Amino acid sequence: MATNRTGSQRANGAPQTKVCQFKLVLLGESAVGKSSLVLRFVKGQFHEYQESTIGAAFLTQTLCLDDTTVKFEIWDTAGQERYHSLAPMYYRGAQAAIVVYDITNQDTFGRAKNWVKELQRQASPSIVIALAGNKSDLAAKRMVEFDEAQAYADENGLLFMETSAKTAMNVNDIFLAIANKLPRNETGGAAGAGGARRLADGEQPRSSACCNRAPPRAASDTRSGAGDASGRGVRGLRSSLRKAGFTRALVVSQAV
Amino acid sequence: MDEESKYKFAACTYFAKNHPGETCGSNGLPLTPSSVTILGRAQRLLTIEHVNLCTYLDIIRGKHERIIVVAETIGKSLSEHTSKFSNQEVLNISTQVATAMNFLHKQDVVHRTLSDDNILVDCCGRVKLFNYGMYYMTDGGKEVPFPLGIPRYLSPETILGGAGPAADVWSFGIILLELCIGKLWNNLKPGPILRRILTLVHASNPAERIAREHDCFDAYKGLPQSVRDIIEKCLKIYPGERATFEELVAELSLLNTEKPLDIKRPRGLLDCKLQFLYHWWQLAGGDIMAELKKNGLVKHNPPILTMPIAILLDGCPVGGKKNILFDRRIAKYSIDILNKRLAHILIQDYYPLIHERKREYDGITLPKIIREKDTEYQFHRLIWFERLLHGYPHTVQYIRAEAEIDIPPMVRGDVWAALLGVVGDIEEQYERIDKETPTPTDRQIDVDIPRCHQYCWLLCGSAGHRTLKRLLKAWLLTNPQYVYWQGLDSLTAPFLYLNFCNEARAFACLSAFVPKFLHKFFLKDNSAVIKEYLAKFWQITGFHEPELAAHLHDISFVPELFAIPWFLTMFSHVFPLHKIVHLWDALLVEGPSLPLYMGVGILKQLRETLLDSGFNECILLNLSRCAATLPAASATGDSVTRRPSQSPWM
Repeated sequence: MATNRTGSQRANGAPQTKVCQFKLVLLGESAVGKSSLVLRFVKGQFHEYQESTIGAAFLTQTLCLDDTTVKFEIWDTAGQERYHSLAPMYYRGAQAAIVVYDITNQDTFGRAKNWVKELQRQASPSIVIALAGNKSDLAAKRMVEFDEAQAYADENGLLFMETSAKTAMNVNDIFLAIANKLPRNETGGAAGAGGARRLADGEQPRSSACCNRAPPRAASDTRSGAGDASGRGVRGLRSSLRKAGFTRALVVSQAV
Repeated sequence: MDEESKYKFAACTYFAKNHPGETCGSNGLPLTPSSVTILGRAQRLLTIEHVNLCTYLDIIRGKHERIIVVAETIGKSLSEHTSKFSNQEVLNISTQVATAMNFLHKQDVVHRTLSDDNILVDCCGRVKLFNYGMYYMTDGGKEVPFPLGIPRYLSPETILGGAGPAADVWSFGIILLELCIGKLWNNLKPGPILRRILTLVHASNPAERIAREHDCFDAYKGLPQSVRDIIEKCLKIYPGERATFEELVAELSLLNTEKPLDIKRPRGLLDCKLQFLYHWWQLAGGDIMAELKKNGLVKHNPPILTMPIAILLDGCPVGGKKNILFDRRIAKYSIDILNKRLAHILIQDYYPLIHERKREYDGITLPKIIREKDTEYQFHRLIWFERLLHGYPHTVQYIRAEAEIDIPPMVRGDVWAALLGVVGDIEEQYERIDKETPTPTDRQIDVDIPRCHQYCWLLCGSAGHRTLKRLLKAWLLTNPQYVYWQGLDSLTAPFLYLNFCNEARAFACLSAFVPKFLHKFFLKDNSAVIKEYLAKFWQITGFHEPELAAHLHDISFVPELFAIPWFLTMFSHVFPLHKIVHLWDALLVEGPSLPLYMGVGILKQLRETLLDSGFNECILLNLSRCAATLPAASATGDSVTRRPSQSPWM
């Protein structure tokens, strides 16, 4: 499912291939398997002792859907509650989010609900949210019923799947389902928080070509943000950077 | 030098239990292999030293759950001695065995496998127990697929399954009896021997009964009354009625008139710590495995023969040639190669004086990693460091000066503690901290520990997990102003790794490290201090690498996105332990501004790639892959790295 075939498609001479880039963020309590899901999706690997994520990790993966190449830019965040304050930096401007919980732990489901609430309140209104009940290979120790989670997902309009990063069950499927739900034309993209941007054939999906990638550019001048919803992110980050003394840092680097 | 005294260490090998198939624990993680559990438990044995115990030197985990135990050796075992001992010799041997056993029981180590082939006696009459920790390291035999102990030394309650330390007293009694009247149940198979022992349950005096069985009743009656008393006190059916080793030592030392031999301390190489000898011997090319193979203790069967005939659905293999699970033989090693290698070293070099002008060794220009493998270089460094550490804390400035050059891996734990200024009764302080009461942070710690540096065999066993948890809880309790941030586990890991059997010192090191290098980083709201630190990092990057900094700035590749785990954990979350120790060697000597330069160093190494890349490519680069090298910190003034949040006394 998860292939990286942009190049070959282009070589086949399909001029109508669209390339869409989406920013996706993974949220959820620690040790529910966020990093493992991403690792399974991006590299097809599974590490039993996947180390904890501090701050966040970034990965990309490309999917081919019909006539479109969908490139996911995935932010895998730290799960510990204390890192919560960093989370907005990652979900701001994201077109999709996967909120992960562990089916063997009821508390993580509660935490997932809180994440969903926060996303509904703070993230872009058109964000596609998927709920993933991970570790379904441990169904014998299940504490969160499938129906309960399904009902919750239906109520809140979330995509829902039980996944297992270990056995790879539903991992590609959930990303695929998200890709299918995301608007893949220019108009659809514009309606959302920046949305997907179609790149002309032959143009490299360079990061600099994408205006809504977050965290957005930390412009040192006063040029206003992109003007859309992602501008929030620009301003937010820029102010935080300024507070952190980055303008000073820049002055130093230019003076040298 | 006669034949038997040239051997300095010996190795034995056995197989740990194999978990069938891919069974998982309750947390969905695979079960810890038995060999890893044994490795973790055996670490404590490595620290036990006593004149009557063969010091453990190394526990090696081989392929297919094989464990190799390396320990000191002397003379030969009782079973190898063919001549009969005189009464005086018997008393001398049993006094020393009882002393050793008394020491072990005080340390809460039960021997359980005491037998005539692990009591070693040398030509001067010194006695040492060899591999006394089998029962301890295998968690009471739970981690091995074979029964422990030799049948004829097992006490009745051991055979019935349910024995405590008193079982060792029984074994001791049997050994004493054997020394007096000869080998017991010599031609019997294990089954009948066990039956014989169990029938003793009905005997009022098992020792006499055994003697009668062997037609030795007269010989037994001919023994001095005092010796018979001791044997009978040991061979009581009820464990509670048996004497303790403390009582036995007291009684035996009254009987034993022979003064302990005053053995002259050897000079030169043999005067060095056995652990050092073993380390140098390995560096000089000593190979434990080679000798085991030569003696047939490790055999390699062609793979085709080891293939199972069938595999059950739960993963249990059926059939196929198996290796012998436990071979009682041992392989002995002499240190000839080391002697040859160090033959030209003058005797005074073994005893350097601190105030003497230091000789320069030619190894110093080599890279650290090669120096660590150089026998002669490590010889001089270890001797020198041993000397300095002996004088700690008065020699701290010498230690610091030497640590600037390099730190020998063998004494890294000690040197780090010295560099961090760990002094005082740390055991007592650590003992007082409540490390058990549950706290709300426990869940987070519990989920983080099983993924913290788990490639390391020490840290991935249950012993490692438990200790790491205790350390973290102790630190959080003594630092109420701080909270647990993910990453603290990684930060603690190197200290645990180096002080695995010295929890108190690991804790003292961590407690000294945080205020020095990570002041305020673990505050509940640490955003200000982290921002400040990253700003300083970015500023220095701009100073040293203006072009790179400008480019990274343009693509908004800001340190918030990649450098938080670097600095929050002082790189311990991003590098494997073998790199961290070298990095921290420098860190502890250079002080708290070094991490900033390490960060710049990493960017510098990837400079060309970073300059050519956009944001995505940059962040996808595995920044931690690169070697941990240090840029010249001297190019920047100290004041540049000064931060308001720095700990005031730095």
